[in-house]
Amino acid sequence: MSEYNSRLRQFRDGDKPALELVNVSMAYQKDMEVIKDVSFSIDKGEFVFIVGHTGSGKSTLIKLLMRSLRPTAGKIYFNGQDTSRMRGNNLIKFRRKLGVVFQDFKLLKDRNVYENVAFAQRVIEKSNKEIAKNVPSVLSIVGLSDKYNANPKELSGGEQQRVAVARALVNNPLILLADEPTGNLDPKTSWEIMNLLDDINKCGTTVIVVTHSEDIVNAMQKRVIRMENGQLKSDVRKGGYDIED
Amino acid sequence: MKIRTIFYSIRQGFKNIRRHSFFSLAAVGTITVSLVLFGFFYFVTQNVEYIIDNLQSEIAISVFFNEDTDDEKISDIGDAIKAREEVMSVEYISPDEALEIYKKTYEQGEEFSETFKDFNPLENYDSYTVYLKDVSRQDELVEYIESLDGVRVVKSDKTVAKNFSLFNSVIGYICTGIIVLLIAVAIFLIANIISMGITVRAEEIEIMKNIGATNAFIRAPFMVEGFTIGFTGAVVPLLILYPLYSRVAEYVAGRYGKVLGGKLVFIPTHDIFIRLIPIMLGIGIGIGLIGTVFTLVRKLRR
Repeated sequence: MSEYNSRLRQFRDGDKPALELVNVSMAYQKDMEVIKDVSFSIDKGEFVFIVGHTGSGKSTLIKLLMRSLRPTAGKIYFNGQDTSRMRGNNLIKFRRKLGVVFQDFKLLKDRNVYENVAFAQRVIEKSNKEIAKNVPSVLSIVGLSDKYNANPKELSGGEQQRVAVARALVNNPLILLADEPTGNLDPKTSWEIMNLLDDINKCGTTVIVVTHSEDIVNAMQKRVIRMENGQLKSDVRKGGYDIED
Repeated sequence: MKIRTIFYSIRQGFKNIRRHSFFSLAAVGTITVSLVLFGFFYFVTQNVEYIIDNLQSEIAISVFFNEDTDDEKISDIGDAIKAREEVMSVEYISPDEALEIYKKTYEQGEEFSETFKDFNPLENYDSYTVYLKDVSRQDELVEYIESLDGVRVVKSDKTVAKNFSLFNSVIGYICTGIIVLLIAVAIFLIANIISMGITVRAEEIEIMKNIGATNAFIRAPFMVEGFTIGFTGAVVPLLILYPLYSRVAEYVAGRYGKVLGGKLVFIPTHDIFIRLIPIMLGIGIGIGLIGTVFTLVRKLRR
């Protein structure tokens, strides 16, 4: 973890925002913009909720942030670098600095918990020795040390999401993006996952969470970016789900 | 790519094959059938060519000279013919040798030689017998020799030469057509199998991309899959064809060995397979890799 800490410190020491959107628009079809002229920036080490109704453009925003999509207009900067210009190795390097968690967990059903987490390390070509060291460590952070040999099908929804968080964490991301991570979970389990994400943020990782969960947003009093019809409706430093401008 | 990643990709490639074992078998089966047929056509074309080559060595043209052509001129004509690239060899037949050949060839030869004991009726019939490397170029050569000063007549069997070259060309065209078709079908099948593998693993591929996998890391297991299917699809037909060819060649040699003056002999098994093995492996692996690359380029654009 010390290597990660120094990488994180180096990242946080820079004066550029972690992510910055400048007049970003995105249309899947011509004249059908789902994101319209959105600008905001997220500082290093922040915890940010992105909220809004279904169809407000939250998930598209996450896809733009992780550079699964490219904006049709505007720029997105990661630590000062324009992500839409990234190609080949630069794009790969950028993605290795992100951790991503999805609503439907996206676990590999033919592999056990250990292999699901190890998979993220194999993709970035870590050695078996490093994998054997890192995977148990991250499984202990998410509280699943005793379930390393279980198949995802044998786990509860909350446990599966913990595996997904462990997989996102194992490569020591500078930014963690979570797209509706509690969407399929009951309130108690949702809180467990949110507390886990909060702990990760307290260790210095920038965390961005897209969510519908009013209770959690209201209770955690973090920065809230509210989207409506593809536009930025409000951006409040410490707020709840329904706070307006 | 690191060594451990190569091993990981190989393991994943084999896992893919096992996961879609039915379709993998279907792909191997298709390549096997295609290459067995390819093997048959290869044997036919190669052996027809081999037999024709053997028979060609028996086909010759005879060149006769004007009565006033002197020895020096005849020698010059011989040199000019030898210089042609389609000519394999030129043999001079003197009038005395011609008479000897006549005696041996025809039943009434002895009677003939008794009649002409003191004089050779073929006195002015010295000639050249010209053997060709390629009978299809016989017409061209005949035309050339006829144009030479001092040549009276050139005798050749145009029908035999034409039929041999025509037969060989027709077999060649038919085989090429069928083989191209079979290879296209096999590539199409492999492409579909890889495409199915990509669809089944779409989520895994998406995760890999999001985590920051390199293109090589994502594509390598599919390449291993395509290579293995292609390689297996080439080895199986070789294992089928080797004993089969060996027995057929033995049977033909035993049963028809004396037909066509002993020229109906197949290429020895070892000799033909030395050439066939790399061709088959190349085609099999090529089909596997082309089908895979084609699908990967189409389906895995970033």
